[in-house]
Amino acid sequence: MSTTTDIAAQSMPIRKYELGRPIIRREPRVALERLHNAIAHVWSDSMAEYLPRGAALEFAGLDFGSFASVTIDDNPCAQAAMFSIGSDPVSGFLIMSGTLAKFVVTNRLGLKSATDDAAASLTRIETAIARETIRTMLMRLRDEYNAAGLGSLANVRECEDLTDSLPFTPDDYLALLGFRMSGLDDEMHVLIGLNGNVVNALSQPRVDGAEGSNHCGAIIDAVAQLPIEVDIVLGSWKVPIEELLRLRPGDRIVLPEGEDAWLAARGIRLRRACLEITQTGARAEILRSAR
Amino acid sequence: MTPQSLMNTVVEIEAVLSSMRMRADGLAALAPGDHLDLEAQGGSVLTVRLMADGATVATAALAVEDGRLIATIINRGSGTAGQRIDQWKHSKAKTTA
Repeated sequence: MSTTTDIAAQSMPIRKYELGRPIIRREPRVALERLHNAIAHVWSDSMAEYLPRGAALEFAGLDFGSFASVTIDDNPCAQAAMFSIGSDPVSGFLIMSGTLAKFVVTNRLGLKSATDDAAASLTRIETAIARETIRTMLMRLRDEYNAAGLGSLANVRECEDLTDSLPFTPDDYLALLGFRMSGLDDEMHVLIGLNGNVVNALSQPRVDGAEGSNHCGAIIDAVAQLPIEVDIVLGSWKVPIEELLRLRPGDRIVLPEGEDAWLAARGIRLRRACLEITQTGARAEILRSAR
Repeated sequence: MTPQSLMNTVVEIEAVLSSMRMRADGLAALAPGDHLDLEAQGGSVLTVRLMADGATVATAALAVEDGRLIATIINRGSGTAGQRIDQWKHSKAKTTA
């Protein structure tokens, strides 16, 4: 049992609008993309030991399509789980491709040839490990969805046979979120499918106050809850590439002392800070902006 | 461009002490005087990533020697562990009455 979709394998082509497709506004689309970019990082961090060396799971893109567009393949190692999100349920599924599941399992078992006979079925022990991996991924997913205000994951169950287990009809419209291994073959991928309610859930986060009626405000609220990766930067300097290439383990560099440090997200400076390094850790004090 | 001129090309290196994940609203609410504290886990040394244009070119162990911050290169690139997300403790600035 295995499922793949084209979106995990390639960048999204521009398609003609089909009558009957729901209109997805830009804001929730961007919010979904950012959220799942963050999820790719979280998964990569938590599974770093078991993924191919130097590779990481990266978010491949968001697409909207019918459940019928999700193609089924024959790899017996693929793993799938279903879940719902929040009290106004969004149904969803998480699928790990058979090749990736096999790789992770053999790596976790410490076996040598993690890619040999990738199409062979998993043993019972291997299946248990694969499912434990999926459960770990779902826990991270739960945390990120919770932080984004989507609500918690519930009714999680593993699927023996995807085609018999999914509560979707072929015409159900889904948000399909693909993940792939950076720089590796397209056989190693993960897919999340969420029914269309997720767009409403993102647009109208559950708020205690009355502001939930303000559509624009609701989207801003949803975006405000998204996790952002922030770097704490001690300082910067310029150096010729030649000098950079000469760096070797054991070399020592005197760094800026941290008085002119900053917080940055994706290279954009957000806050000035004064950093103090101690024997037990570090402390950053936020400074007033120079502007 | 000749190889030598390529070698002479200057790039900007950033020393990234740590990466953390914050909610966007929490980040926006950071105010002057607020503190973020990081405790090295299990007595391990702090590390710093030397980054050029978003890519890790080296990872180094951080130490304070004679009041100076010294980074000792551990490996080139990000190493096998990849990027680490740290937990920082946020405390608001104390206000005076």
